[in-house]
Amino acid sequence: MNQANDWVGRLAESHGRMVLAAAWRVLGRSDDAEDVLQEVFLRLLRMDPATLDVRDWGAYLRVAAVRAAIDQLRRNRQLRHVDPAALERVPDGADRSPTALAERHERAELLRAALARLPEREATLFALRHFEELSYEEIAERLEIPVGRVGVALHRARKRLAALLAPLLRPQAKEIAR
Amino acid sequence: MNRDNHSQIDELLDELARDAAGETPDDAQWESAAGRLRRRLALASEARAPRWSWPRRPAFARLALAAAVLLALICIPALLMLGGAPALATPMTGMGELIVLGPDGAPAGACPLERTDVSADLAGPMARVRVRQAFVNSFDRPIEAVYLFPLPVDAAVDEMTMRIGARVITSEVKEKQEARQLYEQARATGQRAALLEQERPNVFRQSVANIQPGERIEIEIAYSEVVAWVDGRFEFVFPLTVAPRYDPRPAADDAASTATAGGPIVVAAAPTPEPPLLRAGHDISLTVNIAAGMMLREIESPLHEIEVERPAHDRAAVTLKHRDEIPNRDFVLHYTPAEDKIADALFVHEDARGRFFTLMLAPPRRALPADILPRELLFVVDTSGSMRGWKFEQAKAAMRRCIENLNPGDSFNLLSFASDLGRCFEAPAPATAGNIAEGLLYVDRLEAGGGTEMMAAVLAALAGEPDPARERIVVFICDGEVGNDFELIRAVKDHVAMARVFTFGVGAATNRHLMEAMAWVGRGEAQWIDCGCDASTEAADRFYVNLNAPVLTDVRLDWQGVEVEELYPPALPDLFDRKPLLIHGRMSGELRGKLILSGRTAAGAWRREIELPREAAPVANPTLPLLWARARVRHLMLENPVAAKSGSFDDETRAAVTALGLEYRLMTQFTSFVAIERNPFAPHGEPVRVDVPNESPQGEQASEQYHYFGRLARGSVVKGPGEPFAAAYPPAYPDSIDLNRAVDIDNDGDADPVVFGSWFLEQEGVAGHYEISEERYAGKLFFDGDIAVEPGMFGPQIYSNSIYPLRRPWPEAGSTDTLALAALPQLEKLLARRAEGTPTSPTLKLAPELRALAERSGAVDAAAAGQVRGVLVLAWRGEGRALAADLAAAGFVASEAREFERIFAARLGESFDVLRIAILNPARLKELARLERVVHVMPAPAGAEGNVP
Repeated sequence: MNQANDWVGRLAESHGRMVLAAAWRVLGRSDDAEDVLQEVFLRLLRMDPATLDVRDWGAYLRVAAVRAAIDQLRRNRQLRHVDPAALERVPDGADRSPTALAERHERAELLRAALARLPEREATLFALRHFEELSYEEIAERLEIPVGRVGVALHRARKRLAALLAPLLRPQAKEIAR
Repeated sequence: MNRDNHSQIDELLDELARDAAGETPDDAQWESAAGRLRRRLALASEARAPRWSWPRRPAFARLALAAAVLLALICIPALLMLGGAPALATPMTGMGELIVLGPDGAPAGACPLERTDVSADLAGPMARVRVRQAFVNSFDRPIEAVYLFPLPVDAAVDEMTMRIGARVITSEVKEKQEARQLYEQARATGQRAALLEQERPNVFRQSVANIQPGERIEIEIAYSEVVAWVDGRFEFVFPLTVAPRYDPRPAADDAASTATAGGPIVVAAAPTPEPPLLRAGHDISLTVNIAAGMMLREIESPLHEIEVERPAHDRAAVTLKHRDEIPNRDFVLHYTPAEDKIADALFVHEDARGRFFTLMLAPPRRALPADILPRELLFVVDTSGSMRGWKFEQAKAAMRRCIENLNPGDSFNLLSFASDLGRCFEAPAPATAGNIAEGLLYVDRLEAGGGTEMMAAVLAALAGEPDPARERIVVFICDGEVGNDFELIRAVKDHVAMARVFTFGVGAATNRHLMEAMAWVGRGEAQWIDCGCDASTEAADRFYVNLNAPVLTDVRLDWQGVEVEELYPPALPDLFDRKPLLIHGRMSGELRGKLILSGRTAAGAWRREIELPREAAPVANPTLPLLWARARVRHLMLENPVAAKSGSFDDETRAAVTALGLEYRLMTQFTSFVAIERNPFAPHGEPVRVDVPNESPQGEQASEQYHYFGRLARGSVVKGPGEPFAAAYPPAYPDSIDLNRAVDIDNDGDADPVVFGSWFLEQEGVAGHYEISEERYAGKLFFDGDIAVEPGMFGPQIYSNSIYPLRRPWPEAGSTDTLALAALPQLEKLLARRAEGTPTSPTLKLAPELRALAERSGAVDAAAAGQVRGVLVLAWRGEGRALAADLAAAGFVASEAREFERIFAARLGESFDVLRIAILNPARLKELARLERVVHVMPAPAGAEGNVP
């Protein structure tokens, strides 16, 4: 890698894994996530570092990754297939067996499928809050919106997700009732 | 929703979010993704990095640019702004978009070169290529568009037409100055006119005058060439960009040549800003039709994504994939016939001018050279700024490879040149262990930076008396990004004496003309590598092998009474492994009997008799005279003692080349094509000149019949398009296709058999099962039958053979069996292998269950019919789920391929078998997705997008 663009290479070494992980949490699919990883850094390559006013590259890239991943999620939402029955299986969180991993993946996929149907901004907020565990303040700063709006939008996102997932929940509710 | 329900769903949301957040890549996944990211970044930044160091005449450089801006509007791809060109910095308007800057530097409108279409017909070894460029004037005044574009070195350009709406204006060949005068007259009187001039043997200048506001003018040019045969396959190259050239000529000369050329933009004089890595895909199309006359096994483009259609097994239609952006690199297409040897072939054409032929001679196989002559090897490496990045690494790798493998009797030296010349030893040193170590250290320490003063290096390398006991071999390793080609070639020619000159070009837009010509006059071999991919050590290896020795020296061809004349090359060069010799010539009299090719191999005297075909019916092959004339022009230009550069050839050469150009209607340094509209019209004002940045080809096609005989087509079955395969091909495709050498389409060093796979699916609607040999994948990917592939540089593809019971009806939605488990034989094998040594393993117990399930699904029938041997789609409900659980216990858990791998890797360590499933046809995928019970399907591989109807 030559000097002129080496800053991107260095960022990729220091933050690449975080970017991949952030994308992975949103997409749950390694090759999609890898797409996002490449997209994020290739995009940087097209920028002039002098014009970028970035104080915290970690935070910047995290948000960039989540945004790109949400984009990707929304683009491919019709290719995502889920099994509502997954909700019936609640694996023990500590169980690292292949079956448990697969089952957790299935459950996560349900959420992702719902997330893909949210407005982009709300999906991004949800992912930043619940996957990346940023505080309201951090989110507000990153997205340049008032803190109050973060709360409101997150609330709306959760409501929408709940509405999307509720129909799936009914059998489970019955089961619990029984 | 009641309160309970509400909190319950809230809880669930949090749970699910935790499930999702808990899924992250592990170390191995990150490492492999990081590897691909690094490669991709390196590739991207290499092409994007400033290639230009301008140590000598920065003032002049700026002047040239400023002059260009003043003289004319100048058009700059917006992307370039990122790479440099500080004098012209302007806001970017979008990826790959071209904008025109006004004299004040402000954007003035869209670039007039709207699009480029290239179409090539490759019939046997002959190529006919058409390039159509559409210019559109988006200004409110008439404009003139001028731009430079590259074509292959040996392209015999013989046609240019101008289309304005429905009118087609053909061109005439004229002496260069005359053509320019005609053009300028037409421009002055407001006539539309087009002029095509040769700037250097592989760079052409197109000018189009008086494009009216809103008007679209198409210029089509056509050329012929012989498709190269390299290392057992054909290689078709279409240059998509000209790398900037460092031209060390003094400024005065530049001014002079600029003046004679009649335009302000000379690629050699002004530092062209580096070309962008990617270009807009919508402005270019490229179509290649191959009629190989023999069965084709592989078709691949190492640098571009392509679509391949296979109407017959000896034919293919290749197009660039529709992408928003495509790599801004030379388009290279490799296609491999089923037999990786080329046979001798003779092509003959007869017309009023006489009889022309092209003879293609295959080299003998390399004998194992136990006793090669000791060599004096001089490596001359370019360390200029343009070599930075993977090119430099590649150059170093090639040198290391050669140095490490010197023979004990050899001597060697290393020279490096940038702005200055450096050397490892004062004089060539014997290849002792100490000297080799010192040489390697010297290589390690080399750094790239500075200008490209290649002449001093050429002179230094060829100076001095060669050691009489050794054969002197000079190896130039560079990207050829210099502007004084002719001077360098001449220097090599003048000083080469008994030495041999090899060139190793590195770079995606190597100056092939220079590299080839230097090797040609130096009786050596030119070779290049055009990407920084992993497979590139192969190139270094191949180079090393070639460097060893030619396979045949003292080559003689006895024509046995056939009267031939004006052969080019006039003196036969040595033959190198796996590269045929092409001879263009004229003949008179009868064509019969046989030729005798003789020479010396490492094993001693060698000869081969070549049966000439019986007199064949005369078949027009109008390419042959062109190729002959082009070869003669090349000879005249290269042989000419004062042929330093354009404008300084002696009158005799100039006259001879001009005469050839006029007679054969051929583009040369001294003849140009000019097309002028006959009916002048009132101009809308003074034309404004617009210089179009070099970058863009285009196409359409025409097919021509080429005739050849000889044995080129041995063993092939030729069918026309649309003809059925019928008996020639057993219907059982699966067993008759050998994909042992699959295609590395994404250039990441492994094999991606996508071409055949998707083709079969599309063409035949049949399950393709392709055997991929285990050896081939040893250590890389797996396994004993079916599928391979890694995500590649261009994205996360699973390029894979699709294995699918397509001949069976699709299972009904709601059927109990979900999609079939047709993988029985395959799976059992895997299970058995897994169970090796532990016969009580639970995996074996699974087999009956699998069989039962598969039987119910009907898949067994399909498998028994030989159509299918490996499909595994797992469902997660009912029996499918139970099976999945059992499989999980046995180590086969699936949700998708990556998941598979991850789990396998986690459980079994390095040695695991992965059964990947890919469905190449997204339409089918959707169908599949509608089935209620199929819960997990694979994502459509990215490479399959083109198959969507």
